[in-house]
Amino acid sequence: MLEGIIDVLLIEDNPDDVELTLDALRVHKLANRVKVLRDGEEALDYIFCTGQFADRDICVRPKVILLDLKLPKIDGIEVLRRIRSDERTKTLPVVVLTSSNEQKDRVDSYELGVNSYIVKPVEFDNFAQAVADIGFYWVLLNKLPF
Amino acid sequence: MSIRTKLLINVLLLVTSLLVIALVLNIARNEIADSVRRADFADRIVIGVSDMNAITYDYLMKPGERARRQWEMKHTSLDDLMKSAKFKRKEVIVIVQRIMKSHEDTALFFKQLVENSEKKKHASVSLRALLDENDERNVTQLMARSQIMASDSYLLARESEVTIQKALTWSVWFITITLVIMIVIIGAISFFLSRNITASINTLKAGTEIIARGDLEYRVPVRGRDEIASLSLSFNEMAGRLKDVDASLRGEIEEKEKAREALRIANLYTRSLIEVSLDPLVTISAAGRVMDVNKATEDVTGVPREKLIGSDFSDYFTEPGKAREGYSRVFSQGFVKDYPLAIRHTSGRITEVLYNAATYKNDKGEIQGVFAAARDITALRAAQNALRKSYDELEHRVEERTAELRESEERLTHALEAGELGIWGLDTKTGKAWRSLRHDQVFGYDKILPEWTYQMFLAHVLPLDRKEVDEKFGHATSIGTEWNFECRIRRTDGAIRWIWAQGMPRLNERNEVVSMVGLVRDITGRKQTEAETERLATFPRLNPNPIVETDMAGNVQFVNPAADRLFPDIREHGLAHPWLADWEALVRTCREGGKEANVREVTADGRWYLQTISFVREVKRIRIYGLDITERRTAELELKERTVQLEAANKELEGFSYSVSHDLRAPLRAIDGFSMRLIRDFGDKLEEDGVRKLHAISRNAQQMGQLIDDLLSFSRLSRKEMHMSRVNMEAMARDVWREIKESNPNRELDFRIVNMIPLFGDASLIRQVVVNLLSNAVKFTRDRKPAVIETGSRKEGSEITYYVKDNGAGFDMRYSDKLFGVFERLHRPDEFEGTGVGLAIVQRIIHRHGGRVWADGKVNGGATFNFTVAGKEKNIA
Repeated sequence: MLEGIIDVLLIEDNPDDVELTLDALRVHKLANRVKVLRDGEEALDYIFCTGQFADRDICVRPKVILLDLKLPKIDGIEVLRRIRSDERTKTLPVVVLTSSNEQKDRVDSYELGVNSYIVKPVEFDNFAQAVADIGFYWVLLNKLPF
Repeated sequence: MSIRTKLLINVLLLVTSLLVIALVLNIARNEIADSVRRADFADRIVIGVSDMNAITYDYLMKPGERARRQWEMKHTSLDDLMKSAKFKRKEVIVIVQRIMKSHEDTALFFKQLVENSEKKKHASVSLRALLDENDERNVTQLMARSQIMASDSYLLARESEVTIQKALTWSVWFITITLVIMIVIIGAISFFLSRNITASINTLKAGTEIIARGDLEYRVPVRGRDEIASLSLSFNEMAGRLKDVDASLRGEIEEKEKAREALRIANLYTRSLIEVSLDPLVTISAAGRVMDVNKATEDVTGVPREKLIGSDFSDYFTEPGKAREGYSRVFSQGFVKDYPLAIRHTSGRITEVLYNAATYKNDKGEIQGVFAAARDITALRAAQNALRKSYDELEHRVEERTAELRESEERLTHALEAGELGIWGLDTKTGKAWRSLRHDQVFGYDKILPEWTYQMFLAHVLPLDRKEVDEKFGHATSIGTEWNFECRIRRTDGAIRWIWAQGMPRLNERNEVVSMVGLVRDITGRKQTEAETERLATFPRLNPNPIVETDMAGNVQFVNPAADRLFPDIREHGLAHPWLADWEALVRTCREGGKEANVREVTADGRWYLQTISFVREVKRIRIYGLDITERRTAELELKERTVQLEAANKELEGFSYSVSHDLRAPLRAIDGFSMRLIRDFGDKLEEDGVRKLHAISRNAQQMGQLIDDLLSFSRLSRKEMHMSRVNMEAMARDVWREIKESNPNRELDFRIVNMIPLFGDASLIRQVVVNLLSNAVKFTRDRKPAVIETGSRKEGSEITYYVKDNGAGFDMRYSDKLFGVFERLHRPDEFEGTGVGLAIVQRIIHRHGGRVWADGKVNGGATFNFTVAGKEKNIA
């Protein structure tokens, strides 16, 4: 495992969902290069190399950020806004992966420039398939600008 | 023989001799014309002969067909000329015959010449010599004949000339002699004729002269039987008659002389009468000259009689033109009477006179002149002038007074008309009255009635008022006071009107009422206005809201009872009352800004009022209306409070929904996920029953997820904003059906669309309805092959009903009210899957559209779902 190099940044507070997500990513052998962050504050610290992640290199960019909206401390919409309003991070691919199917959340996310919005299916099979597809697409298939 | 006959014979002679001369001249002319024709004939013969000679030589020189034919043509033409010639005289005819003979001979000789020339063509030399000789002889003969013809022609011409000479000489002699003889004869006749006539006339002349000198016994001698003789006879007869007349005349003259003497004596008497008259008398001739005057005329003109007579009569008047006019009037009508004129005396004194004049005529009725008598009227005229002057003055004064009176009357009439006042006067003794037109019009008559009485008036008064009116009249007439009242009348056209009347009694010297004069007026309009005013006044009086009116100075002019109750002290304070605080600014914007009223909210006595302050421009008043809005205010406040509460509740609910959607789903996913992982990772270690139970956990978790999703979408419905538009139901049904069919590839489905009328509503919500109803139908026809699903619409009155009908499981109508409840289900989950939210969503959407939804069906007999939307279809068109 290369130091600091990650493919997927998973921002999710529910440990069950984290486990199920990682389980699903394992299908494409993507689970090894995943960094899990448990709330909005931690996520922002990591992304902008502040706080406990102050010595991290900001130039090391994940291939995709999987963002839950309902997060402790700072919610997902705010995290997305910060990412998009900073020159260094505004081109990062962000996929919202949430239980919310509210129109307001969808509209807000797209207005802030989210790359994709996925509602987590309750059924595990469907959920696992969706996560596997996201991992395959963004990590293996998609090409980044830098 | 008369003179006329003699003259006729003379003329006849002249005419005869002239005819003879003309005859002779005509004979001479004929003779000359004949001779000229002969000479012309001779000329043409000579020319023809010389031409023929020339042709003959041509022929000899060059014998040929052409020359021969030419010769023959010439010969023929001469021949024709001679044959056509016709002459009378014998010696001429002999010569012509001789010429003709020679001419025929030339033809003979020429013929021989031609024959010789023919022969020469074939003849021998000896024969030709012989023939030449023969030719020579023939030519000689031809020439000789030509010579003879020419000399004969000259002879003929010569003879013609002689004839002409002779004819001329003879005719000149004849005419000369005839003229001489005639002049002699006519001269002789004329001489004798004139001598004869002159002698007779002289004798007659001498005779008449003798008789003219008075010798009536003389008679003119009569000779012969001509016109002068008969004249002389007539003259002698006349002289005889004259002699008889002369004798009778002498007798008559003597008698006339005696009569004239008698007349002269009578005239003298008449004359003296004329002369003594003091009036100037004058006779004037038809030519306008004074013929006779009397002494009075001399006196008045100052001109002596000798000068007056023969002068123009009009010279002595101040107005000669007028005098002449009077004079000519006498001629036209025979007389004039009292014709005014003025005579001027030589001293300049004027005498005004009146002329009476008439024409006087002779025995035959012919007008001889005018006799005019003047009368001196100077004194009379002076009296008249004085009288006229005083009359004129009087007239002037009368006119002035009349004008004043008329003006005053006009003013009165105008005043009465302007006030629509009728005027009347009543004689209290007789009860009869005179009236103005307006008076009778008040009682409904177009024109003034012929008669009007007090009783007629009373008959018009309505019975209700009659007694009072009559009593007042009795009172007024008995004590002589004013009669003044208002009452109702029935007009002649039946209309009931209010009138006002007033009468002033007139008293005689014994203080008795003898008459009454007064006015009458229709006051119905005023009465109605009064009633209307009274009625209108009840509006503010009974208004439960306070109304106050002040003038611009702030003095309270009106307070209605409601305002009085509310502000008992407002009359004292006026505009300073707290109710009217800050009125000035509000009134100013009304006055200057043209606004009708300003409205504000004020509190008084612990209550809220909506105060309207108006400036009433027409009467310059400020009017303040108050409307108690305390209840409304309270209600509004309560409503506001409730809205706030409701909004808070809504927020809470939204948060709750969000939590539900987010937080409830996560554990479910975990339950499902870990169940599935247990089966996957440890399935082989579990018993069969354990695996089945894990599947049950997973299925229930999924079911709950579905329930949550449905519940959320149901709750979102009420929050969603509606965007109304025209919805093409048919297209929408097809589209939805296509999706449903794709997700049910194993089903045998028969779908029909029947007359889908467009609908006015929110397209996305209506689509949800269609999706839910069609999905429902597909779900409950699972056991049908084929499943028949029909959708359509029908119009009933103004309402359109849409329906979805299937041949599926149907339902028991007893439970139809449960169909549309949330989570209400009529089937067990193991029969038909579902959460029981689909139809609840349908109902909510239809209710939001103001429509109704209902279902018909029976168990295993299919179901029909119907819905309407509120009467919006008019917007669809």
